[in-house]
Amino acid sequence: MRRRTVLAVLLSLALPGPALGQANGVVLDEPVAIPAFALEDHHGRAFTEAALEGGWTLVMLGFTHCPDVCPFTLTNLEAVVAETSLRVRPDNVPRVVFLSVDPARDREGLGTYALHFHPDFLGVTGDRAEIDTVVEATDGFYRFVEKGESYDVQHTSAISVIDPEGRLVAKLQPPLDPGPVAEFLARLQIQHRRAMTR
Amino acid sequence: MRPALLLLAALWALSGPVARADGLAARDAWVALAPPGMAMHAAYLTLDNAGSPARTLVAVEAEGYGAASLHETRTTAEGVMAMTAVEALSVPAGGAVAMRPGGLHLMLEGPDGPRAEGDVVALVLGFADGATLAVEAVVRPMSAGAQGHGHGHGHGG
Repeated sequence: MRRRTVLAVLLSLALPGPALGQANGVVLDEPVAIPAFALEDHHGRAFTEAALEGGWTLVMLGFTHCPDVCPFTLTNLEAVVAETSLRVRPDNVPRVVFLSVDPARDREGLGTYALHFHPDFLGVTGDRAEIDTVVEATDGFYRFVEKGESYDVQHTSAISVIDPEGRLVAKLQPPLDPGPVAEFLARLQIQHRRAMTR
Repeated sequence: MRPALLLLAALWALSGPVARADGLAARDAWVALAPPGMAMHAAYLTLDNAGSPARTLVAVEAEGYGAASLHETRTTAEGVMAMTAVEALSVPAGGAVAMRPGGLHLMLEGPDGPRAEGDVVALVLGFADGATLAVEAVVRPMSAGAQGHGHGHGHGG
């Protein structure tokens, strides 16, 4: 109980806009289960709710025709993973999932894109209804906007933190300052272990 | 002497707009190393305007790309990220404007081939008063950090 109060105080510091030395993280009051879904990773393997179990996962929404902020977020996530690996056991280092909400353009080349940032990053996409299941369960949002002969994709920037039980437990809002975000994740894992053994 | 003079004159004529761009300079220009096959790249630079009045960036050209334009990534109050085309960017008199990942950037569309780290992309910036500024942007990987490509502010905790 006391821990929750401490977290609430930390979270009240999570102001919008660039902030240094702190993680813009929000821990959910109660974990949210992710319903069943069927997507595909960039190796062509099934990626379902079962793939979220057994380890920590960071899910980012994006699309590969995004030259600025998607690469920047993935670059920061690479640094977050490196920083987190200094603080947690190897099997607790989160796996990063880049969920493309633009399957029409991204079924090809998704792996090339994700792996550019880290050899363990996983590109995932699939049918729109299945994508929407995950997006809605993680309180995300995206839309397509016409742009000349092409289109742009607008999407929520928050990173979803999924626990080893496959439940959404926290959200991270960019900009991601790697050190503080890693600290946030390490503390979240300690809190999670205590909750699970209680 | 005459050919040399002609050349000088030609250079003078060509550099006219640049001369009028006196006080205006671009620095720290770079292109983010993109995943292979990406049809869109992003470039960043800082514009300094040592003179007055304010100068307004209105056009961009990038050698070896189909199109180039100024964009800004903005996050709405609901946390939705959107790229917005920026038609004009004012650089205040005596001031500077810095582009950085997750904010103002030059969007470079349709590269004529892959770009490797260390490659140089020639950019030409056009201003509302007709001045132009040639800039060479070096391709390098993005760096992590809340403040873009690692300038200032240290690493915090």
